[in-house]
Amino acid sequence: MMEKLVRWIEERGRTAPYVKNLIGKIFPRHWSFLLGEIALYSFLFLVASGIFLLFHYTPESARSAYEGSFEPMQGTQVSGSFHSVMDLSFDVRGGLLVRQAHHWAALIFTAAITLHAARVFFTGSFRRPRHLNWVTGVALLMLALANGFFGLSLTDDLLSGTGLRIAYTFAQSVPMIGPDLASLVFAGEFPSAGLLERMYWLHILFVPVAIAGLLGGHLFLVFRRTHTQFGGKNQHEGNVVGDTMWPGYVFKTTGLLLFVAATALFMGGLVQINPVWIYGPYDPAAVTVPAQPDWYLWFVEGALRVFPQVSMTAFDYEIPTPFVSGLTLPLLFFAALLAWPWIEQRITGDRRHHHLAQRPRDVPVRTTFGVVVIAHLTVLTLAGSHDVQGYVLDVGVDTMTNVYRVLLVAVPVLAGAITWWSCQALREDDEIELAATGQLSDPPPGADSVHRDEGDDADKDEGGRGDDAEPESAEVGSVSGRSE
Amino acid sequence: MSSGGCGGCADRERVLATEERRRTRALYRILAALGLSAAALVGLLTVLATGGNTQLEGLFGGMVLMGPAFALVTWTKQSPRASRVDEEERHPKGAGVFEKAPVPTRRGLLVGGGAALAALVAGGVVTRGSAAEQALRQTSWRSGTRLVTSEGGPISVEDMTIGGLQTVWPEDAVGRADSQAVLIRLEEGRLRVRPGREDWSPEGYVAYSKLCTHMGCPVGLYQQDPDVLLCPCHQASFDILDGGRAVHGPASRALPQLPLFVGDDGYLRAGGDFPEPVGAGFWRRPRS
Repeated sequence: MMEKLVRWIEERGRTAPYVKNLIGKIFPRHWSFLLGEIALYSFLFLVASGIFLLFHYTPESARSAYEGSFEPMQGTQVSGSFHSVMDLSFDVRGGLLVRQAHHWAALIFTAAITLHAARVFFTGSFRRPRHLNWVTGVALLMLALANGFFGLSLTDDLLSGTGLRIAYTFAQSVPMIGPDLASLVFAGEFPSAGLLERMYWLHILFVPVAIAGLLGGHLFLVFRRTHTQFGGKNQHEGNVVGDTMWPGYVFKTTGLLLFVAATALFMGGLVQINPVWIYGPYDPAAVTVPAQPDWYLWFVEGALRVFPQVSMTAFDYEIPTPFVSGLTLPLLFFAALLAWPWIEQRITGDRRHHHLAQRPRDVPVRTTFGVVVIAHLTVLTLAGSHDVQGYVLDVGVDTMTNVYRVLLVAVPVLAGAITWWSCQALREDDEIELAATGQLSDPPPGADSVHRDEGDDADKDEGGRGDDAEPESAEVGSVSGRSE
Repeated sequence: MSSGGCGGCADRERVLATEERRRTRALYRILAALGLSAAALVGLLTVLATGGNTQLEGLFGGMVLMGPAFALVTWTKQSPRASRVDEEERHPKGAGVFEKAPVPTRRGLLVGGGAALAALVAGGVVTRGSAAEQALRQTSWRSGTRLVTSEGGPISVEDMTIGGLQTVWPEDAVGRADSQAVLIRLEEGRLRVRPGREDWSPEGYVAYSKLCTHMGCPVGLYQQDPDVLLCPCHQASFDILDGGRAVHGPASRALPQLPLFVGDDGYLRAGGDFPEPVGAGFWRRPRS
């Protein structure tokens, strides 16, 4: 039956060479290589859970009286969107679970992409010939953040309305064309009817399709140009060492997919997130206290809070401060991120191809620079909830603002100094050990020895190791590559 | 791996026996995990059939997936074929023809940046005085408009005690976001009256736009000592006694003050629109 199906497809598609290539693909073993996969699988979970939510969510700005099973809100004027989210949470079986799991998966998605990007950055895996992987990756990060914000805003509760108000003000702050830009993007002066309807299509169609397309390109490039790997006894520029696509990798990675989905479900079931019935429907004259967006926007929130109290003008026209603190600085950060491979290439003059990942200690300048930027962003992120921290610590919020203004400079300098010093110390240790013993006791991570098909080197390039017919017991003798 | 001689036979058998035990153990673990998953599935269906419970749904739903996840990883760990490390040759390095990536030159950047700036300026000229901009310059307050509460009731001079505060709207535009204002009654004489605003605060009543001049959030928190309005979004604070001056936090501009007077009927009325645009700033905001 299976064989017949395969023959049928092969006859029509002539796919055998591609499939053979695919199942012989090698995936290096290192925990940090899982981060990108976690991002991929949380995206799949987002699509799956999003399809369920599509059946129950209505994008509708028009208001009517709430009449669902949540008693305290009976009769309150709410938008159609908010009403459908309430119904989803209280009257659709399993609805609250999927809604919360979807939200948690979005947080996992953005966190996994961020960590994945950090891994690629600190190991120099973006260097030639992988510039395009890096560019598509950064674009994916930006799209993920944008769609996270759209999703957060669709529920039309008090918190999400406040977020939209802030996004509107960003558009309004753009020099020269601000008011018209804001009116164009947000369908009129905020709060406007029709905004939710428009954002809905962005969230469920345009951005996800863009993500899927870029993701396809990103993965295609990984397949074409192979994975990087850390150097080792058997790992060098000319090969890739690790699990074969079939059977080892497929089983492991399917397991990972299920772990990610299970985690999203656990979180969705057990940890409350975005309780819109507590916030209530959007009311332009009210704000929730505390008011924080999702974690990945806290750095913008923090930047808005600690930016100095100045008024800026150009030729007697006003440049509102949020244009600098909330719009220009994050955009500059992403632009620098996109351009980084070329910036580094310009500095080092290194235009060669590299397939081995670097250890962060071996590139102290880049590592220190990265840590300084991350430290800065981390302080901004923490500043995004400095009112809550002040409340807990019983410190006035104005004092907290001043403290964070100092930390914003002090922490990155300190973190950079520690990083630089650590890199130097680690490298000295390596040199001493190398001089004494001729090898490193703690070599760069990776498997130590490689399985080779006996007497069949010619087969290697064709990925012929995946032949299913091979009985498993015949392989018992070749348990050689276990490093875990 | 080929074992030579019969000294190796015993070794080989031991290896096989260990291998066998390992597989058996793994198999038990896999079966247990899948069994647990099946039980969780039954649990999930039962919960859904009996009215639903978010916590149990999440717990059981996660466990349903966790079983196969655990089984797959356990299987690959014990299977020699699946867990072995393999090697693949990389594709040969690309040859020189298409190697030079299109890196933007300095001239390209200048030209591109210049074009973008020109487009922006053109956009600014074209949109000068546009409807969108006009909308930001005015609210629904007119001279003589009565102040009403969120429920729509007008406010007479006796209605509020000293220290009282509430959100007010123009009587014909309750709920219009750009027109919301905060009405506060202070002890007479405490307000440091700004020049030109001498008759804007009758009987200790003073009203400010409720939209923060930083990001346009409603300035909803009232602190009595010192008398400031605090924005919960980014903690900008405004001095109530000093014409709504921005005291601390990110806002750099005072809250616009609404001129008030007491009508012949004893109700509070606006003396006109706010003297300047409310809320966050923009490029062509008139400067006072």
